[in-house]
Amino acid sequence: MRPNSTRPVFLNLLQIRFPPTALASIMHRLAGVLLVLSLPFLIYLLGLSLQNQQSYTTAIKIIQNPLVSFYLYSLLWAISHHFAAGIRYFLVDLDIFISKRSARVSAYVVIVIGILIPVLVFMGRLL
Amino acid sequence: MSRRAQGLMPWVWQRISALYLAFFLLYFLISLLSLDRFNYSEWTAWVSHPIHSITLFIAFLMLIVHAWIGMKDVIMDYIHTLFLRALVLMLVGLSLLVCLVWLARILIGIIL
Repeated sequence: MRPNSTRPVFLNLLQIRFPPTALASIMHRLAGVLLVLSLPFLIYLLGLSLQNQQSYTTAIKIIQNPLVSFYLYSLLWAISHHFAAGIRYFLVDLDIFISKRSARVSAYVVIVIGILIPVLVFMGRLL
Repeated sequence: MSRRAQGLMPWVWQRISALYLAFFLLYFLISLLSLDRFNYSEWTAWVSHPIHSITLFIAFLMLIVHAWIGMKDVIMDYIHTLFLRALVLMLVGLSLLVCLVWLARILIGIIL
């Protein structure tokens, strides 16, 4: 093939359409990396919560801080999405959800579950 | 193992650890949510129950294995400079080992 210098190049990431399968996949990765990067903070909280009664109370106070709370809700999104997308990959390994239509629908379901769980937990705690 | 099957063992371990973590997480949530009340003594009692200590320790191991395989895949996809790749892999690997030791110490602290 001859190089064609007039060939249009379009790499605007904000305008390229991601099919839902690609979106669920990149979010699965993003969520995984976010969870790993959060490990030190989570282990620190776990240690505080188990050390003694006083540090347990400190841990509760930390997670009640609005900013920390928001961060933990985003981690809840991360683990919900990672969990749902992971189950989807297990099913794909078993040749389930491999038709174009079911692949798209299941990817949408995964994305919605990931968002729905933190939203439901948040609303549940308000009640 | 032959060179052609080099990526097979990480692939298998990624799935074994994923399955373990998925089932453990569900058990963890159901078990804690079914407690009548949740406070410091209930929480430490739950963790120091022998079955929970053992399954929790395995979960920590699986978590670090799962994190390592996933991070390795991501790093190798995005970092192509050999020196930089080796450096980042080493830093992430060491950090995950530190996390594992830290988790083990917390668990030992509550059992003893």
